Amino acid sequence: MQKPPQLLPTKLEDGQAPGIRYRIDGELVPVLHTWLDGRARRPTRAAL
Amino acid sequence: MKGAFKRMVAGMPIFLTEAQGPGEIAFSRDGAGHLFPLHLTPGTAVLVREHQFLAATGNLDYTFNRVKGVSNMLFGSTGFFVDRFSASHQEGVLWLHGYGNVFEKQLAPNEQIDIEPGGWVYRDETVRMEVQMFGLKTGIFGGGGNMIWNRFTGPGRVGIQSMYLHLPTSE
Repeated sequence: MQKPPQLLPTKLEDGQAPGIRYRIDGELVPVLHTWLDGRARRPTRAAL
Repeated sequence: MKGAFKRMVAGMPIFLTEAQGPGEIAFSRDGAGHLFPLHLTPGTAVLVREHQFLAATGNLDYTFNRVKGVSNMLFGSTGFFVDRFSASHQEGVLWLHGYGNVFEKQLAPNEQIDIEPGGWVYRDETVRMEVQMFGLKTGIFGGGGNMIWNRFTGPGRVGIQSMYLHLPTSE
């Protein structure tokens, strides 16, 4: 039997990638907080 | 983000904010929904439906494709864009926004799932997408018309949103 789609986490406390830490918090309109250590290339945002 | 200029040339506006550390910066979208990260390892790529992108680390490559044809009927315009993000040499992070809640289906090789055209948010590049269209001529839709959905075939992930909002474009 196929496994149904799984709900992705709605909150994330301690996300990490090279040069960046991040957190996702909030209920209706969630917010992404990022902390840059200055070593990684820039995070970017665009309205695509 | 390499590739964004191509989109400007194609006639689509792009507003890009770059931030460089050290320091903190926060992002959100102007809609109720769900934010989630996708970590891309070197050599992997993900295809994202237009308007779902929130932010990405600057080490990801970007390009896009325009989907035409049957999609014209879905949105009453001349098509829509699918953004492609890939990591070449280093792990990168892509943050996307979906309306409502976002679910992920992990498809095994040749496993399939059918999704309403407005429902998918992202898919791995290894997942194939086809449009399924059926003419409706009887029953409660007696006036005719078409029922359309997208069929995804694995292997790979497909992201599904529980609410659909199609933002107007300039076309």
